Amino acid sequence: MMDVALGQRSRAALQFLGSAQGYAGGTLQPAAAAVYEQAVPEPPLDLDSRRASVESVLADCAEWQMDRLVTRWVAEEIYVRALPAVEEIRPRVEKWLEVGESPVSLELNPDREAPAYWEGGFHLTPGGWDGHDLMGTAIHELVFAYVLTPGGVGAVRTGQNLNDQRAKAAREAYRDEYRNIAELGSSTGRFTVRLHQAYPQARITGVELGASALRHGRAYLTEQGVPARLVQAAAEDTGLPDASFDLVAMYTLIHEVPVTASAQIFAEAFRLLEPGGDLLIGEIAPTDQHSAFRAVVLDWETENRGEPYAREAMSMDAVAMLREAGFTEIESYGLDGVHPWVTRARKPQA
Amino acid sequence: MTEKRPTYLSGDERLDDLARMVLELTSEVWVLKDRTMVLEHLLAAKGTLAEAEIDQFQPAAELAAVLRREREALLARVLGALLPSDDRVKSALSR
Repeated sequence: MMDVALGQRSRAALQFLGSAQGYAGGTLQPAAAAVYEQAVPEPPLDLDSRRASVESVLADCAEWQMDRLVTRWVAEEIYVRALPAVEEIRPRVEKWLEVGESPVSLELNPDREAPAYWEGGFHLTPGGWDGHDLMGTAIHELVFAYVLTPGGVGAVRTGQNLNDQRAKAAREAYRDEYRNIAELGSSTGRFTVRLHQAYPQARITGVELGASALRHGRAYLTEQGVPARLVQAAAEDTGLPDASFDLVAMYTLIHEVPVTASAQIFAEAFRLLEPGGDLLIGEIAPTDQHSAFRAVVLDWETENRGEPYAREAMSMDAVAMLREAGFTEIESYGLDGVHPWVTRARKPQA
Repeated sequence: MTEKRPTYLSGDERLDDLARMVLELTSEVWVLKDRTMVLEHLLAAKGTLAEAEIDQFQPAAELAAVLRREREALLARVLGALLPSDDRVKSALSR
């Protein structure tokens, strides 16, 4: 991690958000869950009915309402605090980002056409993923360290370690060794590092749309000693050659895109893989894998925490879509319960 | 963010606004408390102040009067926020 200390105000204000999220996720939300589960021991199965059931049973539940308000408030406030905080330390961040000679190459493509869903943004990020030139740093270094890691959010429960989850998921590909890995939606390199640790001999190519995430990712991977090629492109149209990888991996990408884009991404992964190559997906588990209350909490993010495609992604039949794309040996299962949800598959030999 | 925000507390937007203000104020209280604790720690570390000195400190008459004036002014501002503005102006001018 970047070793840049924040001033007292920014540090304390960001830590407050982590603690507030931790209280909501660790105390208010379990209290609301207990109220619901006691009132409805046999909840309905389909998502619409579950949503209606939770909304009506918890209509007057203070813990539920305050948990939701605090979660939303923190989601907005992280940018109100993290962006000024990163501005305060800009000279030191800029210096850290100036990597110079490095085994991590970066190919920016400012003329690339970003898909409409990406331009629309997600996670309530003001101005989208590139809405600030240091957005990648603000999110990777400040939001993760001060708020998301201590507080938990979305599918990551309060107290769970999101880096451990990535490390476990990375090891779930079919084979123990790979030569060439493509990671789609590589962001700032958090999962890339775990792929490198799991398959240290492999050459890794990270594909990502966000310029600030890529720039941060190059510095981060260099610092972590992870050689990689980073390419600015959409996951469904990488521009990389056919049959050039023996593993295509992605972590928490699919719930950020519409189902139509997921189908295109699966087809692109199939194209990129050599015959016999493997696919590894780490995601939020499908709706039907969760309790009624938990499914509604995750579904809530669709309208309330800038996850516009979460509902359709969690409801889609990824296994059928992968079969449609040509994959075989498809397996889907949860680690440590249901998160992360791993799906792995293979491109058949020609 | 130009999109209209969802409402969380009993469907009352103003109640949400108030809760957001309480959260922001609590955050500000924390930032100040964090700062005070850092300050005490540094003063103790540099030998300027023994750790128990603030807890054991008894304000003499002059400082006690200043603290009392400040405390009453704070209460008057907070609890007096619901009073008519003419009264609040009068109260502010009297301090």
